[in-house]
Amino acid sequence: MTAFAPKTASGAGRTDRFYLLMIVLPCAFLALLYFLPVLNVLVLSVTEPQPGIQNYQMLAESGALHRILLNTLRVSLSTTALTLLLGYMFSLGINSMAPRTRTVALFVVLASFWISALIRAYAWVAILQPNGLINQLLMGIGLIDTPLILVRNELGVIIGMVHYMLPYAILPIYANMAGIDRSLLRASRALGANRWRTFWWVFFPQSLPGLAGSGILVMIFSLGFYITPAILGGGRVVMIAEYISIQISETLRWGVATMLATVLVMVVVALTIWMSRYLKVGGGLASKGGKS
Amino acid sequence: MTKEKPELEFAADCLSILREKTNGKMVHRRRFLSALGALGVMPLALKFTPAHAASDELVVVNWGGDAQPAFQTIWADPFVASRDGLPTVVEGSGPSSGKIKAMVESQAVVWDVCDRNLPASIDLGQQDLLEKVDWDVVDPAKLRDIHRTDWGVGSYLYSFALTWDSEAHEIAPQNWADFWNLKDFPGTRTLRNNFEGMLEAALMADGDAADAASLYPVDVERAFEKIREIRENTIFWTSGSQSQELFRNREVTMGNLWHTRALLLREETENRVQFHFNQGILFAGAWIVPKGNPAGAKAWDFVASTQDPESQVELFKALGNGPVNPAAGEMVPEDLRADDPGNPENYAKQVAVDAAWYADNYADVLNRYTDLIAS
Amino acid sequence: MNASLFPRIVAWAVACFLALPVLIMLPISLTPNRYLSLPKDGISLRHYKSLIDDPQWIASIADSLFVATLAAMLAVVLGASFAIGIWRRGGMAERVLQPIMLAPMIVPPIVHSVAFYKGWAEIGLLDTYTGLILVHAMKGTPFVILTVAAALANFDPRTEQAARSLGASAGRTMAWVVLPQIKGGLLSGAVFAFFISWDEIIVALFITMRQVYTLPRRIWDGLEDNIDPAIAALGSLMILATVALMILQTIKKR
Repeated sequence: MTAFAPKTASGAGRTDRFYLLMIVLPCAFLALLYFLPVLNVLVLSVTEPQPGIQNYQMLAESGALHRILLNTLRVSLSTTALTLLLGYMFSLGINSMAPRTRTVALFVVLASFWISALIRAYAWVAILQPNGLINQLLMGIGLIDTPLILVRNELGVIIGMVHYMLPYAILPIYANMAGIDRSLLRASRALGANRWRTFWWVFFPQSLPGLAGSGILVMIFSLGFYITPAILGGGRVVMIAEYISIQISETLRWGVATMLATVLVMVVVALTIWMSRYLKVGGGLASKGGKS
Repeated sequence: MTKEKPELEFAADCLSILREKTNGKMVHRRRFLSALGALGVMPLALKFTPAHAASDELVVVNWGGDAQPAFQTIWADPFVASRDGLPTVVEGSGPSSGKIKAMVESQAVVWDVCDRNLPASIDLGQQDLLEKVDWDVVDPAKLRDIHRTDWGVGSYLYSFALTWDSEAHEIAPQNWADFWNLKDFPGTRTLRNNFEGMLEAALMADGDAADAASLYPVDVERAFEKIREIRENTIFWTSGSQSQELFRNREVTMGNLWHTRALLLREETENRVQFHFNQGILFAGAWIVPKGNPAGAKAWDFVASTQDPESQVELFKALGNGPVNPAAGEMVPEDLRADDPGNPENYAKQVAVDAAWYADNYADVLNRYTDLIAS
Repeated sequence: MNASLFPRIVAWAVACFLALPVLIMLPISLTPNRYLSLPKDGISLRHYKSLIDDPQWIASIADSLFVATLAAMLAVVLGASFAIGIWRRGGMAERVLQPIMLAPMIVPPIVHSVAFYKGWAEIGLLDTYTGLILVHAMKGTPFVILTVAAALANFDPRTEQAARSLGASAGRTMAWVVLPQIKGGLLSGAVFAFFISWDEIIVALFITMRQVYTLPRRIWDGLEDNIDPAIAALGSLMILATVALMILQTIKKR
């Protein structure tokens, strides 16, 4: 471990306590009001229907669960990759725009927030369905004869999810890019590097924290989707969140539901810890004084 | 309720004052005491808020939409006006099993009467989450025997009915075998993303007779095999509004829909969309009462009041839900009788579901069905 | 010029993609039908009228705005405090605590529903503003942590140390040096937290009944039955309000 709290000569003790308090207070708040009630329910995974690890055994044995987990992973990964790609390009693009036009572009991002997930899903159905806007357009100009099947399948789900996630990806990426020191770029150019090398060696590494933060956010968010897949997937794209929801609301198999929730949390937390070793996730270690 | 310890009398006294001050918006005593115990944790002010339905009103919960005001005017308001009726509100937030379980297990039940179906009444009743029906208050004579269980009172009839787009299919499909016949009736189908009423249709398509004796217990594997045949040509609807959407947009040409939806569609599309009760799968909605409901036994007074045949006919006119009281059948206006699933002629064409089979197999088969449509 | 032209073209393409459902909502909101649809013969303002005529819509909008605003504020305080503390101290806390603090974002909402129903029933917070604001704030906190942490990533902790060594108190350093640096992160975190609450339905359906009746719940109540185009009208109005606000701002700046 190379990381440690940087020590300063003046008032180190009090400063440390100040920042320690900044960490401890929110943690205590969440511990009491979040983790207590949530753990109280997650513990059902080893007590329902009877004490033991039979719910976890199910995870290893059930083919149905594997299929649903695989579906979830595939859809979430596709969504994350596409969202990050589009979000990064978008942020890069508006970064080089005049302030006025940039405001307009950012406005579009914010405006899409105002529409509930539900109505967005229906808007996408109207756009993508066999006699929807896109197919009518394509058939009108004679590009296709029979309508393309764009929705009520996995493609439709991914389109809807990418659309939902894009603003969430763009804001952190853009916030991070806006904070990148331009003088470094100028220095790099002055030293004779071309645009591409300057981007790849100077700009891109500095934009990684934003990208990683967004990546985690989008991935985690995608894992939890279920209204959008249910509507745009024609009922056939069942993701883990919907499955858990069925277990809680309908079959009352709370043991299985909480087992899946627990596994989800553990996997994502482990993944995040692992990723933070390689990426400067949110002001990570590598940027600390200790290493530089 | 547990007995109070003497030192808590003061707290109880405070509570009674508080009750008066909050105009009967009740603060549950046990909750309040446990809240006092947690004083170190939460500022006091946070807790002086009503968390429970007051026991001087009755809360009826259904699934919202048009049914919410309809239940209110047809059943709740007259009950309030009746001799011993409590002020009654209809809430539309959806009494799912999960919510009922959460309420009962944390002893914080806020609902009195819930709008579910007969299979659910057995399923939840067997898990000790419901109050048993008081058959001295509710009149068993106003129901067919199969429309009542120990925990549930039939409230209305609804059917899973064969619905089709008459512009896509000039020859009307007669039965589920036609539904499954993609060759002679080409077009996308829609089934529900829950197996209720779907497996029976599949088995009838496979040649089973349209009667409960030959369908139950359901041969799940054979039904699944049949659904696999058309799975690639099927969109699975997730909500009633979506099933309508699919026909409205002409995304599907045939579906297994709630007859109430089919009725709305027929009207809205000016007869483009048609349905019939032939081989329909007939369910009964049921009133259930969560264990420890705030209004106690009064809940059954309300349920009994909904057995009035005239009110059931009113509901039928408003929403299309068929009267469950056989006496109501004759009160349905002549011209509407063809749309009443409880009408003797229609009743005979349909299969009455075996609620006990559903209750015994619900969780397991639902999970397998979900896997079937997802893979 | 040409090197940055490509990203700009992509940016506008993405903007169009984002705007498409937004744009299609405007005509949907003008449909004369009582279900979501594009108007075929003639348009109608009935859904705007029903928004105004029905006091319940207004009440729900007020509920949602109130809950979302307070939840976002609380989330920003919790999230920013944690992210800054971690940034400054690093170490184990960062590697282990931070992922754990993301839990409210990972745990499926339906599990939250049961957890908070049981928890809030214990302490009498069911169907209260406090109860819902707390849950929404905690759901928003991870977003603030992520955005603030991303903003801090490019900010050298030595700047802060320098300010301290020049004699500034911890509080002043925070207000004058740290917070201005991470304005963008704070703002986007707040926006996220606000919209998380604004759109949240699953927990609200469980822990609120009649005292607190947020907008998504009002929408949901009709969902099983019929999706009311009034929500398209509402979305359109919200967007128009945002446009108006932005135009006002640009005028003020000039």
